[in-house]
Amino acid sequence: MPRSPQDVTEAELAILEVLWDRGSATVRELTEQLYAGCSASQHATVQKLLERLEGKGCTFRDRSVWPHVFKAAVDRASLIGRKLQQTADRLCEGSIQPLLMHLVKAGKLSTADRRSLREMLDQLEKDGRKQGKK
Amino acid sequence: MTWLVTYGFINAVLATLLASAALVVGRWCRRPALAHLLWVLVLCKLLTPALVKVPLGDWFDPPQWLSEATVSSGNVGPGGHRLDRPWTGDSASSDSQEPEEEFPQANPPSKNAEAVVVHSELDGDVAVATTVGGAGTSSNGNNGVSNTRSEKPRRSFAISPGLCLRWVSIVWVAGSLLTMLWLVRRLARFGAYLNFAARPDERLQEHVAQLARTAGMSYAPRVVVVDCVVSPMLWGVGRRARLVFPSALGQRLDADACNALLLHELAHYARGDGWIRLLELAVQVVYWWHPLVWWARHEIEAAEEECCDAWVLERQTGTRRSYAEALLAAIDFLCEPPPLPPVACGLGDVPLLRRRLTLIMRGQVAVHPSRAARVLVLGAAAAVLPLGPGLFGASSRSDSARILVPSTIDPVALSPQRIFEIESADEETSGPAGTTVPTGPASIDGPADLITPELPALPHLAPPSLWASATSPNGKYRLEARAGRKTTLVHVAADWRLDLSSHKIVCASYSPDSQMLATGHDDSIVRIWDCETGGISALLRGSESAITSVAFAPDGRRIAAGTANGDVHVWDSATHDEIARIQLQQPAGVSCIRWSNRGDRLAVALGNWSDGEAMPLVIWAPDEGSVPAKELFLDLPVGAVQWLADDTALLVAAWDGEARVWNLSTNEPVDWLSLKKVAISAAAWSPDCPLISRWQADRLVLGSEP
Repeated sequence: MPRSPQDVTEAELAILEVLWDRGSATVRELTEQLYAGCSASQHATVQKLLERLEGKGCTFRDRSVWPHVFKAAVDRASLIGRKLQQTADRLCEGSIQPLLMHLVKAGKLSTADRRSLREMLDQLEKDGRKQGKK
Repeated sequence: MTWLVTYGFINAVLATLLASAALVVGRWCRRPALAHLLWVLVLCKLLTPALVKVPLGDWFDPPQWLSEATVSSGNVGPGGHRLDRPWTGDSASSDSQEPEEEFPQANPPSKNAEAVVVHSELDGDVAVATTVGGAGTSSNGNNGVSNTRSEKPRRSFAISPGLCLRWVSIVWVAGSLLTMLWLVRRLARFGAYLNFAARPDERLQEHVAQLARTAGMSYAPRVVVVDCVVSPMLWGVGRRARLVFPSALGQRLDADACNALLLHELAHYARGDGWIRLLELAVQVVYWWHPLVWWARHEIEAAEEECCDAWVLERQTGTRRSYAEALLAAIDFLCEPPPLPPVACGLGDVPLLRRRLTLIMRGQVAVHPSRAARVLVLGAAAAVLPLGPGLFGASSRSDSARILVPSTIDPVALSPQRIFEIESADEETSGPAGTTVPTGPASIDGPADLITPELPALPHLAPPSLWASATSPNGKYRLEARAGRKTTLVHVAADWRLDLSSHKIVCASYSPDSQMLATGHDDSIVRIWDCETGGISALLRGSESAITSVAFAPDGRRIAAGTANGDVHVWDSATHDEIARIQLQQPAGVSCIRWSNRGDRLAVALGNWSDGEAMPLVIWAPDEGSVPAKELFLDLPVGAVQWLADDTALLVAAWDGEARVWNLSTNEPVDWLSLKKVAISAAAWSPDCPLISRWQADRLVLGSEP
């Protein structure tokens, strides 16, 4: 089961932008593109960022070639959608966001909670019918 | 700023009481519409100022620290006139005080010994506790003159309630500012998010407009759709409100379910719930620390949802079950495990959802409160919102009745040379200073330089009569005396006021440089006040009976005081040592003592206004020993005296208003005047309230040259 991608940082997003534009790149190519140079520390930074992105499931490493080539595992639209969703989650928190009126604040209702609500609904409908007959 | 804490505290308490009523209605009476109104009333109460004070009477005893704090920090009496710390002044004057000294206990404490907390100490950091009494006095038997040291007040360095209130005010305001910034930032971010992520949908906009028209609404909010997993929501107020609908949810639901959810958001719009959110926002900013605000918000929103559900049920075309199913579908939409991060809209409120679904299925909710309920709530609002308990100054205790009335006296018109005619309100009486209420105009011939101060009437309290007002020589300060020995020191330019009523000032005198104010008290002590800071800088001891009259010498180097047992004391104003004393051995106390213009002699009037007995008037030169220089035997009870014409004559005024110009060379009266009784009382009270102005004094005809 794929891990849910976590929020990417600005630096990680910059790497993904390059991968989206180029399709694939090595660590050296990414470093040269991002820093206009390739010092040892910059190289190490990009390598670390790529490891993180790989852990988040946002990049794919092709180990069949040398040096390893990295590709983006998520497309731009999906990532932007995730970021927007995360922003919405943060901003739509009803108890904090001013001037906001929700339809429902469902929050983290479990499946069992929702099932119990449906059962309650069924029961209320039955009770209503019984009273109607009376 | 400490008034903010006072009013905020009062409002918070009252609102909490209101909340109890709202809770009962909401939880047990099951009337969400009425409960909503009551909770809104709670929020309104938090913000509305207490316009009308309800005296709680003696049965309510506010905590001493709160009483002291509001007085020392300068807070209100029942009239709602705030009294802030009058002036920050020169703290150096209080910092430069001499080190505290132990009070020598040569004798057991006199019957007057008691601990007196100086409420009016305004440097704010310390509470000055002074022990008064006869300690420390001794006599060397030298013709009645004693070498007595006057003691400095001992300071106890407890943190004053005034300081605490001040810090509470600062923290409160800072918290409000931070809360406001935080909320504004959230609003801005949400607006930016909508601007970026939301897009208009014309088809949906038309559909919502149609639904609104069907529901009887004249205007529909703007509709935008987002591609995120969010609950349908309404954001904003008035014409700027936006109905946000998730596009994915719309694709999942059928037409009836969609309409039901849209109608729910329209219900919020039709009810004006956005304005309630605005009220909540304002209350959150002001009462960020009060848990009642958050609780009230929760209750209001719960009641709103139930009312909106009822509104939808009245107008939708589907069944109750279909509406409930639509809500559950929205919940499923929000709670489905995503490829996306879980919705982080707070914890799910299952009990609230159960309650809503139950009410939907049973159809028991009234959309609007009944007419009777509305009238009831409006009446309660009108009665409760402007009210505040009169915690301070409402009881009959004289030491707590600190009623401050702002004066409209034109400070420019005031000077030590003018006489103040007091606006009369009651019948005339002939009593000592502080008990008379004057009537009628002055009877002195001369220019109309009489100033009538106008006292504004409070809506529920009659203002105490101002019967004397002494202005410092430089016009910067004014001491106002009202009935019941209520005294207020006013910084004229800033209109700051210091209530000195608790000290029961009997008499007062400014120093020539206007820096100090000497006051006489029944506890036989003369207190020297620093006018700049409003604090007591020295206590002059040595008298064995109540001080009845006090006067600074013209050069400011000496202070003379007369006592109830007929003694006169003179102190050095710099060292506070007693330097001269005379015991006049008369069966009456001193009514008025005044320095000559040259400062070499004292005119001492003796007598009591109540018995009307004529007593001699004594002229004494303190530098020449303890024997009077002259005694004038008058046939009238003298209330006040004033030196005239280069110290060759005295204006001697009796309590009944009759005044004579007395030539000191011939010991004969040379002129007669009729003065107002209140002017005589004021003149006896302070030399800064002269009997007549200098202009008038110059016009008086002397009998002969000395």
